[in-house]
Amino acid sequence: MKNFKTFILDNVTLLGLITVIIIGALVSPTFLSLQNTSNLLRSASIMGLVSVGMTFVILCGSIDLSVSSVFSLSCYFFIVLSRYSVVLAILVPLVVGVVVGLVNGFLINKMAIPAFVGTLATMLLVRGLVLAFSNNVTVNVGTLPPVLSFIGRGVFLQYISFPLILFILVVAITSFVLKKRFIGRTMYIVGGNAEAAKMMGVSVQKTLFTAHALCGMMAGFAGIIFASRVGSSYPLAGNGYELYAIASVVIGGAALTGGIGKMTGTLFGSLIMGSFSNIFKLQRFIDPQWEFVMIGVILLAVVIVQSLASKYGSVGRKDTKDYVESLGNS
Amino acid sequence: MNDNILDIQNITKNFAGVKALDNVSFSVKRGEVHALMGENGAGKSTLIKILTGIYRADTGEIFFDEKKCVFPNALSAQHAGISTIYQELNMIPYLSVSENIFLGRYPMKREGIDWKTMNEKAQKLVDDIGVKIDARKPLNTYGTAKQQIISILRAISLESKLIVMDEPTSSLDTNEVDILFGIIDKLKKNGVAIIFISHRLDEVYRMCDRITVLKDGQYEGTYESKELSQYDLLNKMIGRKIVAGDNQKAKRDMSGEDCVLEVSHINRVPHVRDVSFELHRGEIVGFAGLLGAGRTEIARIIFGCDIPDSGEIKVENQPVHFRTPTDAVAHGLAFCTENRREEGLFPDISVQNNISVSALSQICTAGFIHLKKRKQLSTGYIEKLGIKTPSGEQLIKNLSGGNQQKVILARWLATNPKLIIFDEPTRGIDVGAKQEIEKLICEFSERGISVLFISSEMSELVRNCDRIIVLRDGMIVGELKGDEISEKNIMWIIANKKSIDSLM
Repeated sequence: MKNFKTFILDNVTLLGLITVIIIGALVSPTFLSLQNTSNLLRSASIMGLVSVGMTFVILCGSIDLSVSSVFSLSCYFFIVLSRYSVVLAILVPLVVGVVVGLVNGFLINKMAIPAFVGTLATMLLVRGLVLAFSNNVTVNVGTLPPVLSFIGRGVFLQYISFPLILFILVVAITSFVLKKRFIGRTMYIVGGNAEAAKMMGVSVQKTLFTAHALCGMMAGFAGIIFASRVGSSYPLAGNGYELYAIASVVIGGAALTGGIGKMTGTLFGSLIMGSFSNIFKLQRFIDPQWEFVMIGVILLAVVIVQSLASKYGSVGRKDTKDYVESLGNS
Repeated sequence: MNDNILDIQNITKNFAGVKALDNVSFSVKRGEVHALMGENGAGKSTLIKILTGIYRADTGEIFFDEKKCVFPNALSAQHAGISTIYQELNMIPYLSVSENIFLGRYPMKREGIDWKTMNEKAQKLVDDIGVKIDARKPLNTYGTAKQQIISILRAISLESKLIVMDEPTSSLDTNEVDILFGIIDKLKKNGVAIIFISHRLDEVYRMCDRITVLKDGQYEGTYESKELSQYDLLNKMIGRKIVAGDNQKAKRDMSGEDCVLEVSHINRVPHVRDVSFELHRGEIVGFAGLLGAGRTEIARIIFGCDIPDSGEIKVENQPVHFRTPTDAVAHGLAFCTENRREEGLFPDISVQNNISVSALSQICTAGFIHLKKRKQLSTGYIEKLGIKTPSGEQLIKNLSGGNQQKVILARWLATNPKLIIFDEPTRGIDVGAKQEIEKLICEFSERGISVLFISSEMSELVRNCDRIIVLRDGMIVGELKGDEISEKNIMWIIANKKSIDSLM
């Protein structure tokens, strides 16, 4: 029984995803159709890439609100540059993402600005750049070159979208890095106890710079795929994505205080968020205007369960009780 | 090979003009357990931080393993073979035990970290010392004691030649202390030297071959522990020469007065064990004892900050069960805490707001602060206590330590308390202000407020208290009143663990 409880608490995210899928199947017959699943996975993958980046910074105990704006700026550059050069259209958005990430890292590390405030400023600033560059109108280019168009629209075996493949690949690689590479572990170390990290010779600044640069790059990457799929860049693209991404990461089991989290958790978290908004579009029971209310409820449910899990589950202080009991015997 | 693993020579360290360490030298032999003793401000932690590369000494030299060493950071000290087990554990709670042990030195395979080898190696280290720990579980699965042991395992796996243990036993129970000491014995046999910092005299005498005493940043001496009695040790640590003109307040016998506070058999292991005492109206009772003797812990229980495991507390003969400090304040208790900065001040608001914050109900009408009443209240106290501030509008952080303390006093007085607990009220305060605060405390008691006075300065207790309760390792070991009150007797009781009656 105890093991069963631990199993549940340790696999909350996966069980949550299964629950959402079951609900989806019950609510709408089209939910599990191949075409719908394919569409769902494609959108979830784009959001998911932003969340992968967000996972790095959250693991370090930091936060990045600027991802939505970076996403949008990346769309803009991708569309504008697609007329001139395939290479630049892909490279420039990624570089822009990294640069904004480094600026965030600089504000947090060198200026000692709280991550929330620093990245709030860059979020506004970069969004402003998008509006200024695009003159606040949607930028269209006739047709994208086939290579660029394939990034967002490519499909294998009729249903397996290229964005999904990219997403799975990125999750696999980042998951490996987080588990097996020193740079990955430093994120857990810095987020878990920054003081201890310093004592053990782990550079907190370097780690934060890396995480923020990666986060910016991922947002840029997601922007490329989105723009390629839509074929245009509208100035408010990605608006609110930072909160979706944070929600996905938290639903995936990461702690906003840092040091806890897994890339596979973020994978499931993104799929839950993606499925959920898909179900909302398919169903007819609740007014679609209530979507955010439902997302809020789900997020609350998840964090409450997590909070309970850390109180009673295997993650946390189960043995502290035994320890206290053993103290009483002496 | 030189007998000494460590030679520290003429280390001096200043912080903003204040000498934290003044020309300190001492050495540690290979395979010995060496105690470093001293009260707050003696310079122990500064010395350890210099030794482990966190601070740099202004002058002086460190020879480690026959080489002259300058450690630019903590890591370089670790690489050289010095590890530190801190009181507050410097580990990552959510990562596995094995990762915490091998952090930064992961066993690698071609593609990355070799978790299997790491877990096996860690498990072997754990099994070798015979403690039941699963190396794959997250560190925070285990309690403080086991975490402490894990951090020692980390030091062992680093093949350290010198391990500094900063109060490793402060949160351990007897069995766990035995396990820890077993490990220390093993390390010692393997030639590892240990610098052991503890305030528990029994442990120091049980484990340590030699004792070095620091006082006020100065080196007092190094002694064979067999040749130094506990009394002599205490005298070197906390004894002061009696200053001429150190006038003592007349000691009063207040046992006839009403009982304001009665504490019976409270326990909160491991810091407080079976503590009982009474406090009468207008009486000043002192808590004497070394750091870690449980003085602050008892005060925190009385004030509802911590909840005791067992025992009863009565305020004016009514049993009380405080869950939070708010309950205690409602019963007329006040607590001037030892960390003025963290637990007392609101640094960025004005003096008058700092004073009136505890008495808002008196100066508010329908939820609005009556500005005139606030001004009256605060200026009243500013005059009464002689707080030196240009005006009530001044931010409290711009005041001197002594005046800040007076503001906190004023804040508590505004609640009309029956009992004030003072925890180190004169720490970090200059001599003049110190005398004023002592005088104020005596005045309060004249007016019928009872005072529980906690201080590490024995002379301060001896000067002001009507009665002194002596604590050691969380237990009351004796009580002094009237003419018995003297520094010598306090130290005698701490050293011998029995009341002065047996002396007479």
